[in-house]
Amino acid sequence: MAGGGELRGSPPVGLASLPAQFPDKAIKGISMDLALLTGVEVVYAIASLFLISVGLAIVFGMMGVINFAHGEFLMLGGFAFILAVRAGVNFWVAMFVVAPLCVAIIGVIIERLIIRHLYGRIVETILATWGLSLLLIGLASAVFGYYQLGVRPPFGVVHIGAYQTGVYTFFVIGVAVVLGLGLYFLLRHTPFGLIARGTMQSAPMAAALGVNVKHVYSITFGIGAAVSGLAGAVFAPLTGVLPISGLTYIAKAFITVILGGALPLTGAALSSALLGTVSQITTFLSTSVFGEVMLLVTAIVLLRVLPSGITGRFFKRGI
Amino acid sequence: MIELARPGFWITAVTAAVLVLIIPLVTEVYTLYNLTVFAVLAMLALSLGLVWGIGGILALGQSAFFGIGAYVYALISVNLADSTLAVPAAMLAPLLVAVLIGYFTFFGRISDVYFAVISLTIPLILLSLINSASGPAYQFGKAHLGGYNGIPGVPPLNIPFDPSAVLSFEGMYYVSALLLLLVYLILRVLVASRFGRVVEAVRENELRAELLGYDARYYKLGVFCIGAAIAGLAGALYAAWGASVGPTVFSLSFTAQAVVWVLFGGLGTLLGPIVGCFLVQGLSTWLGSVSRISPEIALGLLFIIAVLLVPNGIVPSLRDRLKSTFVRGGRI
Amino acid sequence: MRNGRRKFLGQSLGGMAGLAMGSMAFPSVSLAAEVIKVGVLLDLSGPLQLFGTVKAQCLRLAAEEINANGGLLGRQIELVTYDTQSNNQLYGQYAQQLALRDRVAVVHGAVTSAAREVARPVLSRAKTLYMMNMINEGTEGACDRNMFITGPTPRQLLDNLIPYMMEKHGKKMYILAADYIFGQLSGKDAERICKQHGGETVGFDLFPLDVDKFGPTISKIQSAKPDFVFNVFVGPAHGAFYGQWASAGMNKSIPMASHTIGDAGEQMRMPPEVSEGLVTAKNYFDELDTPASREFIERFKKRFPDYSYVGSLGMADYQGMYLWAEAVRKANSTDREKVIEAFESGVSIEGPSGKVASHPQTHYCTMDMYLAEVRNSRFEVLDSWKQVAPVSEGDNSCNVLGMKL
Repeated sequence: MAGGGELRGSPPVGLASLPAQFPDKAIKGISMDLALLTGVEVVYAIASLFLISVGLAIVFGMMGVINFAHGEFLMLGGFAFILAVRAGVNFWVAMFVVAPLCVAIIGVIIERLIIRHLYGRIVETILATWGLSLLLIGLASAVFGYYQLGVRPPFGVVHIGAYQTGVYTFFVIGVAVVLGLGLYFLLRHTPFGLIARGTMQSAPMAAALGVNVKHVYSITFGIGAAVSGLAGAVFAPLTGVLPISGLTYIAKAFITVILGGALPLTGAALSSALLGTVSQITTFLSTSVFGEVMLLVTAIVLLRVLPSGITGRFFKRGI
Repeated sequence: MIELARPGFWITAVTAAVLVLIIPLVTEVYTLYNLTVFAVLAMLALSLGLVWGIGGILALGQSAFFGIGAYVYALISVNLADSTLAVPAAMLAPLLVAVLIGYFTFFGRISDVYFAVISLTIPLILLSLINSASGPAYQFGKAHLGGYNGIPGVPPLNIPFDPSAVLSFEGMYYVSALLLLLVYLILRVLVASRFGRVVEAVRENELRAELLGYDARYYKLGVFCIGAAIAGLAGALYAAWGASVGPTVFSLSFTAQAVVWVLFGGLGTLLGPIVGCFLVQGLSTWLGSVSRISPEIALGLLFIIAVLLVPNGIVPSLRDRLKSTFVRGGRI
Repeated sequence: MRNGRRKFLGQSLGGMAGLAMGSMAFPSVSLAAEVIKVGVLLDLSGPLQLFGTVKAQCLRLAAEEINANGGLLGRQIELVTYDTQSNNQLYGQYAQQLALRDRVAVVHGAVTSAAREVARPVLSRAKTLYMMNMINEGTEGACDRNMFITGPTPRQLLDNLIPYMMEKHGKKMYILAADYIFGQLSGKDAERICKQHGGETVGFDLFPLDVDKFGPTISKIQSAKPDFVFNVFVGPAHGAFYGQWASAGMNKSIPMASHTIGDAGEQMRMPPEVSEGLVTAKNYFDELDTPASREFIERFKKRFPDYSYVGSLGMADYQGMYLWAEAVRKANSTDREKVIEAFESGVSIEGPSGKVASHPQTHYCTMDMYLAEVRNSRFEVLDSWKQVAPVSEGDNSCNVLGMKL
């Protein structure tokens, strides 16, 4: 059943079997190098999941909006980044400034035109954002097409014993950490963050205290969009961007966010950590198919045990 | 059974039946072929309309039951070379799965968007598993699961216990359309019955219903299972219609389509999902034959505009405008 | 890209536009004596438009060229095109419509094998000829008398590709494949060929179609230390894998071959440093430096100014249209059974890719094969083999002759 296992003559797959194949590398089972590399891969998986989900988490956690066009924000960020780099903009500026900015602007426009009318109406937002997703894919297909030349991931390689991996892997992890910290700082220690959290707790109360709730929602949606744009840009060198790239992210992002629970940042972080670890370890031990399935099954089981998501039960006082 | 006493019910039933019977006389076979699949998908939409609109259960992954029904029908009818037992099996299998899932979730007091996610993962899990289940190892009797390619050569419906008497395209149309009508009418009676009223009470306020003495979990489980069985029946018809079934029935976009039909047509009504399905499917089919407009852009714009203009869906909005002579406080 | 896209949408098929404007419920009035209707069933929107658009363009170009040269049997070809929107259900619906309403003489279509399996029985039942112009998983996947296939089988592609890699780099191969029938069968074929030539498969990993994180795999490959890697990725997985492979620096240490790379223009999307050195085998490359190929590309560019790449997928359709036309000429009729008999008696055409000849026993095609390497985001053709058969000598596992229609 494991990939390759059913084919006669193929060696068994799965990392656990590697020591048997390469006894000279093995020290007490799996070699240190491999264990270290695996550890890096797990952290990378967590970081990836966090990056693709946190934008959606902000929007959902703060405003209760289920944005089914979230994947397309990632896609647009990727295109903005690649087109900027191809046009000569500095790699880092394109990634950290151009992409988030472009998607933030698009996000704010969308919020004004569509989302704004639908706050509190979960059902209508589903239909509207699904329609938006189709529309954005259609427009991206017409405007960008499918032959967009990509951008090479920078940096070189780093060696872990007999293995090597890209420095870019650590870069992605770094971005996830910095972003997480940055958002935490924004929400915890800035005036805007305070207002935003207050509005999230109780919009009528915040309005009664003079907060322009509409404004806060707009800006929050913009921030969520910007973060998604950044994530899309970060992954663009690794995977290339197609108009349909967003579709591969939406399911996982959605599940991660809901499992995370009501608190956007803490929830997304914990959820990514759990799901990323489980899925990656399963992939190591068997195949990618099971890794994917395990991620989904874990979400089900955890939701059964924690019916309001992780932060519905733990870390309730976080962000 | 008050519903059965209402003249409106019978007028609707007869009018619809007449319509169904007349259509083949004025259209071509290929149109019937299209209408058949629309009717079958409308049955899926109806099942989601029941579970979500009436039951308040956000079953985003309703297509899983449809897909299970389709695959069970395919596997059994290929093996027995007879569709007779395959159809009830296609309703039973999703029902059993629904019992499991329902027990797991409703009895765990999971609701709203959290349930929606669990529901959504079911078709995605099945998609992952079935996509890779190709190769000679994956077979059920004579039928290969076929992985991504699916199961070809699925037998059409035949007269019960007479495998040689296979339904023609017209026959298939009649069966599908009339079954859709029948299910719709049964659901109308169900919703107006005591069971239905309690289900709606649970939807409106679960705590209150419980305080009134009703065990909400069982009512939710009940409506969820009925919805699953209907979706399974629709799946069986779908496999019989297309003479094949593939894992795309478990894809995210397929399950999202069901949600879209219900929302577009009108959440909370039984007629809405049917109308929504026919409209969207008809439009998609038409768009593919006209090359000037990108279907994605057209449909995307349509949904966005629909939400802004008719936020409750088409049927409720229309109903609000028409003077309702047939329905007095009941529902369409 | 923007203009070209709009232009293509704008330049909808003349006759088809009139047809489509008519209501779907009523049969179209056709001047049967004047035109031959040919159905086109492809994904022109949705994720698969990546493949479908250029295939449709090639069919169009071929039809227009035939029409300009006096038509087929003195009649003009009229294309009836349906956009299946990457939705298999529409394949069933439109196949039915093409057969029953539009009454086409032949249907060219399907991008994925799943779609093929939906359309094939519908067209078979409706007694309409079906041409599948697409790379496929070989006769194990489909063997049907009502169908002709002008795309290469794994055997045609790999019989020369694998030994080339083995000769150049060594005998240990690692296989990565998309986890569905096409990937699995291609992988198995590669394994078999490797063994035949005295090699060894040191790893065989299968991936779901939408996976895009390959970290663990890259580690596994490093452990297994193969001489080269052979992959059967499809679609977005290509872009995802090569980017990560290059990021880990592996593109400089372990050579890679694939018979699917380039099918969706990947070599144009990936940065040159990432794609450099990838080896592939196909029936056709735009960069093929023969007069026939060069002239074809010129004609294509002129007709479709938004040209980026045609490739072997599009060429299969171009050849498919011409091959069918040739069979019709030989049969002197568009009647399905006569055309099939003509095909089975042996027809061939000389196209931009070389000679394409029908293989009567299986209904696939014998074609010229080329091997190329990616250099500077373009394919450089390094080797070629003439008239490679779709199945091995003496392989009778698929024999459609004598199958009832």
